Amino acid sequence: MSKDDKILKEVTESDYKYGFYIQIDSDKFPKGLDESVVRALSEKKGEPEWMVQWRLEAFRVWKDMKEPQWANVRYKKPDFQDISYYAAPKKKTVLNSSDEVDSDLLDTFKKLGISLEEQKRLSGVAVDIVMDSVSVATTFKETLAEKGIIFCPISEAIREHSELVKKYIGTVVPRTDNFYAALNSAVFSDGSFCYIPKGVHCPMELSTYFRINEGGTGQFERTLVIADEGSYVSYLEGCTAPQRDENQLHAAVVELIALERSEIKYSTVQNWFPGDKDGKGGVYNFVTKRGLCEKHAKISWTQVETGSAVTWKYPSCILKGDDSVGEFYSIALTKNFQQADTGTKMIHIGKNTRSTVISKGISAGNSQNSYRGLVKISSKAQNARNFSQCDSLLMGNSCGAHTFPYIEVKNPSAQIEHEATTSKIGEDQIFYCNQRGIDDEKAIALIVNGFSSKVLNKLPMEFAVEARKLLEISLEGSVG
Amino acid sequence: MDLKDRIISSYIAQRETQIPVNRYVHQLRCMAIDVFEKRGFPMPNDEEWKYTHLMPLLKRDYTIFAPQKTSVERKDIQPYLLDDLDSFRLVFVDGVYSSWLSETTHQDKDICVLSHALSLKKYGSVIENYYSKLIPNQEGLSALNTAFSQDGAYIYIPEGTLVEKPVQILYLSTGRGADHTLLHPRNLMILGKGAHLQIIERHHALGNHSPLSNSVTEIYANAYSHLEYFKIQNDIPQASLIDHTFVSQDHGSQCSIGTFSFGGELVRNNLHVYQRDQEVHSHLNGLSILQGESLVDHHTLMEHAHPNGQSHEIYKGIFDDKSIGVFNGKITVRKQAQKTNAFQQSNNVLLSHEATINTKPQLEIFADDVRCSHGCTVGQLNQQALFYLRSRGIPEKQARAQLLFAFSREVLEHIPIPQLKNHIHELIGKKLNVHFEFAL
Repeated sequence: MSKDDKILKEVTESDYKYGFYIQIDSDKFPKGLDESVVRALSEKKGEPEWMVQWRLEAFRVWKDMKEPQWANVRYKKPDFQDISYYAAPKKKTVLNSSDEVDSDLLDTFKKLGISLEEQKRLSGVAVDIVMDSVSVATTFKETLAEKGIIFCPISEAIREHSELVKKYIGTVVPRTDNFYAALNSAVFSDGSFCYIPKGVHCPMELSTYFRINEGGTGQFERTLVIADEGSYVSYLEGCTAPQRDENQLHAAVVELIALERSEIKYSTVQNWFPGDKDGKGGVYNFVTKRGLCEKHAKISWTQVETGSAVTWKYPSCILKGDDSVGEFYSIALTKNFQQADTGTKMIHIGKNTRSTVISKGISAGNSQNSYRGLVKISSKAQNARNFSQCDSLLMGNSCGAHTFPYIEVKNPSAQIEHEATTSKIGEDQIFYCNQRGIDDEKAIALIVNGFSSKVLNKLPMEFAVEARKLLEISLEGSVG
Repeated sequence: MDLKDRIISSYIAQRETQIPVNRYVHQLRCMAIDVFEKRGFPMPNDEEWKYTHLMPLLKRDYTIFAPQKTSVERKDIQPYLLDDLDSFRLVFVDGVYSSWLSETTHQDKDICVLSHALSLKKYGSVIENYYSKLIPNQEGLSALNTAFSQDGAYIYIPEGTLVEKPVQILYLSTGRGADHTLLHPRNLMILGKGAHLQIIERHHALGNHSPLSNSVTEIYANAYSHLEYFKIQNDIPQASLIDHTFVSQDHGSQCSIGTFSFGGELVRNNLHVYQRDQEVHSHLNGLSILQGESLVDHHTLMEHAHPNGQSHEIYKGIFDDKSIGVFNGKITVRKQAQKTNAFQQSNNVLLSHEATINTKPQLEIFADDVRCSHGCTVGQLNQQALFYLRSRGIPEKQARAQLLFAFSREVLEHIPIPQLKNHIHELIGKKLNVHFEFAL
């Protein structure tokens, strides 16, 4: 085996670090889904009547919908009656600080590399942790409350900030939007809610950590972030799941609302279990993420996608207000038998709206990596500006890279640029590094890092370190 | 009864009156009508037809068989042929070959009509080897053409032959006796090893009716052959054309296909190029300059299946009034096609608030050692450049036209026939409503 092949082999066979399962007593619904499950779920959460009705309507819509077929992915359709729609670690009472968190849970988080105390002391990041179907811990609540910022599990927000939730939920991603959004609307169990009041610059990064622990469950979380006029928030999201042979379903909905002159920065490091090297198991990640920008507002999506067996995810921006800005920065790394169909939609409606799309796809092993994007300029969007770039890097010749960019322009003052390239790591690039005393593996790491740097630079500090590490782990063997 | 049903029932009715063809072709036609019955016309929910809707066209009351034997004067066709160009000519009027307007040859090559080739025994083996082999199995429109096509160009160039003058193919429709006619032109072209051929193809409606042509062209470029194909689409605003061109390229062959779309109600160009062997070069160029309510849809599929292939696509569009431009460029690189170099570019200018451009460049790549890139831009005239020209005394209209002409030039550079180049130059001038005082 030549050296190159060896490196590739190692790359494609490195293991998933977060595949452990911790036995935590959990309270789980029996499998299956009908109206009574939706009602029971809502009851469990102590939700008001309007929410129950809202969910039921979503459920009725969902029943008549068909699964989308257009994505460039092949997988076994999940059986929606074979999933448990609610699982929660037991012994849960209302927690006031992380000291009261169950010790098993704390162990889990330590293994994941999140120490609640340490986070609290050092990094100054407020964390909301969602395990299976419920939020188990939220840090820094008081500090944030002083500024009037609401950061809590969405189930709590439905009870305590009902008017805000009622006003905004489903406005950006309607229940009828697509199959998985409708399903999520009916059965979402928890997620994060965040509200930044007028003119407040959120003093710390807000972070949600998602983990699937139980088997046979699906995770349906719902995140709603509202940035009121002139405010700013940076929001991080991370996720892992145990290693299992079954395919677990994760269907989340994220809605961002950026009111006038506000800015939301939303970063994701997605590392669900990707399946083993034979393509067995792994998480199905079918996510709907969308943000709405009012005048002068800005939404920036940054994502590093390394996990999941099948990913189907298009964080989008509706640039409704004049002078609003949408950004999308993405790295998607697929290996073994992973399949990713990801990209963004930039819908320009307001005048002088701008959007930037940078997407980097790296495919190795037998994986398939697709970029699917839409840039739409409506006829009223004067002086809209878009720049898109999607580059793919292929490692080995059993993988595939695909791009499906849709561009629809109805306004003559628009300026659109789109470019895409596909290439492999050049022999001359490696040779250049070799000449300067850098060995093959380090050279590949250097090149991949350089290839992704435009996106990595957009991540908040704490995450950038994690993302770089994650890329390195995923490419292990080629990087030392 | 909708159009599809009428077509199917009239197919059965016309069987008896058909020109006799060999058994192979007869079988093909029967199979094709079954495919059409199953698939029908593409619907708006078909991803390949997302931006181009045929529904409004299909509601018209088409005459399925054009009235036979219409005569056309030589002067009527003059504007649509390059008269100063010494060339072979194939002229079809309402789908029927017009021998006295044409100039064909059988001298060491065949440049003649397809109906002969389909019915005469001596062409039997060629037809069985090539006819209808490139058409995708389950596609309704090309199947419709296979079922109904009566005539078109048949060109067979033997090994090592250089065709000394270009071939002009002209499809005319007169609309006599019917307001809406349905036409199914069909071409078959085979280039032997090392052969060289230049073709200029044009569809045009005479008068005021609205024909729909559903044309199919199959081209086989054998090893080291060289084909240059130019399509001029400058039809009247009511005429529609759906063109399917399938090209199969063998080892070391070169094909360049230029499409110049300046008019028509709906023009759809399905251009599929298959690289069947190594070291193949393909060039696809397109220029659309549209006004009124025209829609032009370029749908290209570039398939790299073997190593060391090259492809180069440039499509430019200028859209005014309520016109709509669609570009869907797909490049597939199969696993074996290492060292492929594929390039695709689509540049568009919108001149009016009601014009629309929808583009979808698409790469599907399964080989790792390749270089593939595509670029796509949508913009408008640079105001500073316009100001620069005007400050030097060039009137605005002229200045705009010059900038637009400069924008299109990249596509025009590859035309090797001077007369054709001049003709297209003139057409662009007419389209932009100016007279260029500089030569190309």
